[in-house]
Amino acid sequence: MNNQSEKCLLVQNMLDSFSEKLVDSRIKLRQKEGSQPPRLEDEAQEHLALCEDCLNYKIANAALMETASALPMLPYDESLTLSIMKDLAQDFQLQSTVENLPAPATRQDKSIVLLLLSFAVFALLLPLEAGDSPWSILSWSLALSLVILLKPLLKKHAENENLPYARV
Amino acid sequence: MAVMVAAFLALPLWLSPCADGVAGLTQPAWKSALYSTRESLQNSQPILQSKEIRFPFIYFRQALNRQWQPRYFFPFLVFAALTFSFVAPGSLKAAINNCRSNLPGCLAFSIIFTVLTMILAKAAFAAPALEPLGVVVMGLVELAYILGLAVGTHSLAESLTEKCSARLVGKSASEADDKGRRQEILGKDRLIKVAGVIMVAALLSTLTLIPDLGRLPRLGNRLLVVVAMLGLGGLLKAKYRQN
Repeated sequence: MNNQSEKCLLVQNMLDSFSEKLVDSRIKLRQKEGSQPPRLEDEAQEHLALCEDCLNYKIANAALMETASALPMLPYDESLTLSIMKDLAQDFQLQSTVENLPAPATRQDKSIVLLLLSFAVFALLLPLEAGDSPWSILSWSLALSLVILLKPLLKKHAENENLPYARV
Repeated sequence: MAVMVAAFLALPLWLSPCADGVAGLTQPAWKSALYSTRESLQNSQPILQSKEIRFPFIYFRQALNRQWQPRYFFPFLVFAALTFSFVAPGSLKAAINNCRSNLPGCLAFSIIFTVLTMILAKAAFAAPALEPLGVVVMGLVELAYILGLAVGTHSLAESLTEKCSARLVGKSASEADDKGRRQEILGKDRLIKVAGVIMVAALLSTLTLIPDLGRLPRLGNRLLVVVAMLGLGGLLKAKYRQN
């Protein structure tokens, strides 16, 4: 598992550099300086055929590049870009400090507590209002547990975590 | 404007049966039909035939303990899911995102919604003047659950097809440069989504076949309701609790 994630990290780094090369080659093509389109390493291509996370990462990168290439080219000031990046670097530093702190209660934890409380009220109302037997409440609890077990299936891939911006 | 108001005020007088009776004229056929309909309505039984509807929890328990027919449930579910995706794709997408990112939150939200609406319906049925409100609230709960089931079906279908889609469509989509190829891929993607919805609807419909397991009443129907709760929670959060 650990090896797999290391491999994924390696391939994602390869994909990052591949994207950069691709952007560079497109800029050169626009400026009519003859340049060869870059080629992704065979090792990375093999991994992409097997790993869905990395494939999604590649798709996300491609989508970003497509969107960016559709934007009009405006005259820009390099110093402004640098100053923005400098400001962002401070934000990222602050963010990483906050992330390292122990989280008191995440949104997910609160939702679980809320779910348990609301289901307790619901389960209390069933025998009081409808005269349901404990078996009916057990049936409801089983159904709820089975749907909660679907959580890993329903869970989305954390695409944003893989984006280069989030990893800076 | 004045003529319209005068005509509107004169309409009940003209439609009243005594107007023709006094004049001794014969009534036209459509007018007699109208009177007979009115009379039949006046002599009919009350609208709320079943007493159970006045007790929402008992009403829904009875509905859940019945055997639902998969041959009706399946086309109905496919119809609801596809119609909803056609009518409100934006809301559906937001709801699916909510369902997939915060499952316990969605379930909690819909349970709270259900409890509150049931209490409101019961309170409305307690006062005779508020009975129509009670009927409307019960209808709204049923509609909300149908929409929830549609969203739940879409969420499950999207999760199931995501892997296939990433392999069959996503890989090519990232590589497709020309517009025609991209359109072709998008078409294929849509087809896969519809196939996924139909497959999940079929799977959910088979749940209605689960009988009472010993003393456990109709687990399959309750499972379907919890899936509907999940979708409903996602939809409500997308509509009313989006930050």
